[in-house]
Amino acid sequence: MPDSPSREALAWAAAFVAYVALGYWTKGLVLNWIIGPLFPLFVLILIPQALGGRNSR
Amino acid sequence: MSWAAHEFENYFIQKHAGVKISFLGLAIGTLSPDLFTKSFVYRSDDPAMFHRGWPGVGFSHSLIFGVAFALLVLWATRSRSWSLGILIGQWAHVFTDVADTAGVMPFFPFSTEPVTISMWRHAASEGPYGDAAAYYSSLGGMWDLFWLVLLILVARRTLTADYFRTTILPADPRAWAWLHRRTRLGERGLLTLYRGLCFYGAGRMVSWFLYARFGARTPFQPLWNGPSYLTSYNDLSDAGALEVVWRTTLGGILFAGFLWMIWRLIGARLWRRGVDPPLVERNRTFF
Repeated sequence: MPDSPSREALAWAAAFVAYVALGYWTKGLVLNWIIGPLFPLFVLILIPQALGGRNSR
Repeated sequence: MSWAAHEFENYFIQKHAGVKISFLGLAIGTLSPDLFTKSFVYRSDDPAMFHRGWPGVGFSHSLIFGVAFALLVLWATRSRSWSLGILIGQWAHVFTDVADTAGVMPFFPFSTEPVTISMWRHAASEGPYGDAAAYYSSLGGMWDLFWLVLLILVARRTLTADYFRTTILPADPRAWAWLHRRTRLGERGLLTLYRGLCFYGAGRMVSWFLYARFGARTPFQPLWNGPSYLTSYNDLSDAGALEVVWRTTLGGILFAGFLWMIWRLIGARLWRRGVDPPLVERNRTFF
């Protein structure tokens, strides 16, 4: 996740748009209480890290 | 039933309870009434009755269920902040679900009379997608929006890194430290996990609202007892208002007596042997 507050807010907004779009498309597949709360963790922290991005842990 | 309101209310409650309750306990408490029952509701012959009534799993939406769950957790973990979080979270869920036509049985088993203000129609009989479309075509969607606005106006500080560091972690240092050790997530990761419930609530609110408008194309009818395009009210009781008040009052009195007895027999003892997070752990740095 980016360091500056504005970049962080942008990252959260992008994740939110992605989640809403995925939710609209797949419905119950991502709009559930397991995937939903974990989605930002995967998109903002774990996936960027796995892809070799900045170490955010 | 309420949808995203159950996610937003956690942050609102946490803001008022501070370090006295565990956010993780609170979240599990809020989820608990639907956690193991919701997936069966849509497969039932009479979803509203199964979900909220008796016979059915309606007892999961009663105050006694929260008491039993909280006492069980207090006995097993000795954690006061977890047990209090579970109790308050489960009770918040019960009171929030009073708003739909099926209502809840708050004082089960002393009264099986559903209590409802019939703001919107319980629509589980429409299946999961029909239910979502109906909810976000009724005042239910507005109810979610109300809680989101309340969260933003009153409790937005609970979403900050500073609040997480000074209140959420100290209220429940053992569980967060365990998560840190098991997942190797740092503060940012745990903060993201903490914010995840709010993200999920807002995300599913917008997604299902869009689905209702552009997918299911159901008419937007945010009026009391709507949406009127549904043919069934799913009201579980045909009792008159006075009868409901009488039965509920009697149930409430009996429940209060039961609660007092349980506290004297078990609760007080478990509470005394329970522990708050030690100050040394509260001030500990995980990262």
